[in-house]
Amino acid sequence: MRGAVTPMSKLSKAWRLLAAGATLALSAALVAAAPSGAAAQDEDTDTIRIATDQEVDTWNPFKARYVITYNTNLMTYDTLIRIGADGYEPVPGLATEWTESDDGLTWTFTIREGATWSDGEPLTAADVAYTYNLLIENQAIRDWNIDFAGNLVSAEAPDDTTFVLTLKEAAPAEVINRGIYIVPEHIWSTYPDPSADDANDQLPLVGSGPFRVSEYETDEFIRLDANENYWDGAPGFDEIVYDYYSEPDAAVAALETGEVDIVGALNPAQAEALGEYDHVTVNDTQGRRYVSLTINHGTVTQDGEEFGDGHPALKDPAVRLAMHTAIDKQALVDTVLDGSGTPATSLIPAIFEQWHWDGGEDLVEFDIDEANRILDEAGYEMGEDGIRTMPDSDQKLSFRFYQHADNTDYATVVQFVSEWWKQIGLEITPEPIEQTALNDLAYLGEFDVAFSGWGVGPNPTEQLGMHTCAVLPTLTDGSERSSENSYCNEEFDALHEQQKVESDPDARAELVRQQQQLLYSDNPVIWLYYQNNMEAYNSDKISGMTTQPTDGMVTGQEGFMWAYLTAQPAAESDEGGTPMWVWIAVGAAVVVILAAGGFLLMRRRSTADERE
Amino acid sequence: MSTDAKTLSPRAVTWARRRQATRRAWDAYRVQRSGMVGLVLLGAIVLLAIAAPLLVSPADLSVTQATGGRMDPPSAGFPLGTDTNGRSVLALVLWGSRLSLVIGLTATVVAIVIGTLLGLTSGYYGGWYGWFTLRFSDWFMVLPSLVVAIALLAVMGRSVVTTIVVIAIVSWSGTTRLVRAQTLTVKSRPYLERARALGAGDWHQMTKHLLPNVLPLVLASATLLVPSAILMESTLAWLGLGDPTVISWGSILNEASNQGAVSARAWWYLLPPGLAILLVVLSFMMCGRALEAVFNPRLRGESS
Repeated sequence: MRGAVTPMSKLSKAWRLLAAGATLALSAALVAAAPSGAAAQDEDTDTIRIATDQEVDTWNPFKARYVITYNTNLMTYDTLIRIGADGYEPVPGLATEWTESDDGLTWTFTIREGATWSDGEPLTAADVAYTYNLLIENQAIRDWNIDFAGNLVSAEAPDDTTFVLTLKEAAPAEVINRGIYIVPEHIWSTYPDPSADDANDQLPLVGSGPFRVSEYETDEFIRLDANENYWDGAPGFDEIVYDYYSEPDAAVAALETGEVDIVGALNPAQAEALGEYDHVTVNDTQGRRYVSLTINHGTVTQDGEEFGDGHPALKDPAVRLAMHTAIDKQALVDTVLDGSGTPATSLIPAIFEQWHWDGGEDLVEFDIDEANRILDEAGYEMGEDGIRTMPDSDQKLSFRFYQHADNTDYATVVQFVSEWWKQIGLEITPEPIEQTALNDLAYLGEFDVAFSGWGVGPNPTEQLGMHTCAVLPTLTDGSERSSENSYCNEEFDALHEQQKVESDPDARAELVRQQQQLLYSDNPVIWLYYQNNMEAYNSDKISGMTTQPTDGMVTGQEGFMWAYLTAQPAAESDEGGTPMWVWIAVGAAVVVILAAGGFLLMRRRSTADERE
Repeated sequence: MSTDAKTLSPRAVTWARRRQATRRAWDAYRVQRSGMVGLVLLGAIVLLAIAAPLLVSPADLSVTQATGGRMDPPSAGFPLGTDTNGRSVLALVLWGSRLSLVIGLTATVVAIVIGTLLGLTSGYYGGWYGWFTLRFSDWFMVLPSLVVAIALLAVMGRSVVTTIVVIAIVSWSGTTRLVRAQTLTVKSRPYLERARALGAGDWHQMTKHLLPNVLPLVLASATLLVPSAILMESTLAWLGLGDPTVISWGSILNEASNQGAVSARAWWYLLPPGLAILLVVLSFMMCGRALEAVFNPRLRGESS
């Protein structure tokens, strides 16, 4: 190369820079001005685009645990009984009606006639019996769903429209609320191992639901096609596409420009920003999630063997009560959630009005002085350094406070709570830990205070069941993870057995409230707040979505995806063009490039004699 | 001059010579405008960081005692607006300077000490030891530093100390090479042979002759290492890998982006910590480049 005069070497550096800059600017302009939703949108296809960031765990509906596959399964498959949109009441799904025998052990379902699989085969009671038999006979699937499947004895289909389920013990709430996805026998019986994670990987999936998963590209999109022959009426949209956005702010920006139609899990700032757009409707409603602080009040096995290394002071209910009294839950809701939530009392969020317990006269009110008084009375003396010590030793009340490292809300809560607890003479060492590691420590009992949080379903048994003595671990290695908070109280367990078989809703609700009251006064956990579900959608494009419950949420529905079945394309409006700011940005970029080019040219002239 | 030297003790002579060298270096530094600008900027920032406890009261940093609203735009009470908890962004940025500087400086010192030790011994002893240390530092040099730092933090947990250690681990290797090269050139000079002939041991040679000769270079490279350490700290904190219980510029940015400051167009929440990082990095770079030019005359421009 050296010495050879090629045209390239004659081209000056400035010109090459200019050319490169111009190319860049041009391509940026083209990309920005290209029609949004570049994935070749057919004009005739009505699509709902939903932003997501969660990977798919498995297409096997019996093993799926993620929210994303919960949603796609609910759309691809039917369940016998749906959870209603008004107030989480049971409503007919594939079963038009159902009856329970007097002893509650035999359930007879009438299966809907005229339902078909997406490949055209008819759906009969035999498919339902096949599905429930997978739960009974396939060991791996049974283990995976043991809390429900363990109680099943037999599943039979005497004729095409009748399905009979037999139980070991009566469990009406479980049978009604447990949505089992009915799968097609003629497909599934060909699978060598129906319990394998990849057993059902052939797309499109065959199901009987209003949509079905037809295409999936990892980290790009999931496409679901509408079932035009759905027995409950064809959906209004032709397809639903989950688009992957790794950054929440990118998803918000995409909703602003119309590239995506529904974005869930917003934070207050995002919800506020989106509220200023005419085509966006922000939906800020009660959620199903609670955030709590688990206090290590002593982890024990079923045999009473203690394990873990929790601080001894936390075994004292007075200390736990003082800690509870020194937390201003309303302040947390106001600042951390910007008011989009409610202070929590117990483990069933307020959205489930029929089960929720509001604290009544036992409600603990925020009062730092009262908290200090409780600790003084219990004999924890304040040292000169402002930290209390145990009544019988010099051990300081110094607690480790573990938070999920990836959760910024929790990091803010930690700052608040630490400041309050410091005022009552506790020394707090906050430590952010990865979620998996934190769970490991929590189940090993090697913590003092740790964050926890659950999305609660409409059946309270699920959450209450995690607080019974029966699920305490038998080993101390932290491998058995059915018990939440190591809670064990005989009185609570007795109430739990009663509510499980109580078929009168009001009587059951009363029992469930008593259970929560017990939990609240024993105080193994401090429930902080119920987080609102904040979501936003493009109301210029979608209308008529049924929320759950009434005036409730669109994303995060339970038991059936009402919103997507009922969504209708809104009347056409003149949206979809390139937004004005793109043109302004492109113009500005061109001006900058031209100016830079001019500058370089001038420089080149002025230094021409010095070069070469 | 010569009469003075005769009456002075050898130690005094040494000191006089050092003073003279320092003055010469200062003269060479002073004439570089960017270096002086950097120095003044840096001085101001360090002063502010030291004075931060006087300017910012603990109440300004307390979330429970915050008086502002959620992400309020700049106003008379809050010149740079407020964060999500209603605290003044100005107070946070001022306070954050302390941690950013401390982490940047400490990590650099640790990295420089490791690098100088290994480089000096590697160049001095040579042989298989020299070969081994050189390959060892090469190995660290080719590791992608951010990836290694993220992995290490995930394993070691998040705290200020681990952040410092991790940054030092990923940034010591360049110094080793630099020091080793300089050691090799100094080692081959005749006066070291003379010293050896006079019976100087390894320790004496390394501490009295080699180290003073490599130190200026180390100083220049340290000044250039600090900004990269600060950037690394901010990057890690911004990625959410810092200690979230302390305030640094990176952690302010992390909280801002997590709380949706981008969507809310809260520029006052994002820009100040970003500009602060830029300013510190810039002033360190200016000082470092100027220092480099002082100790390496070949880099000195004619006009300056």
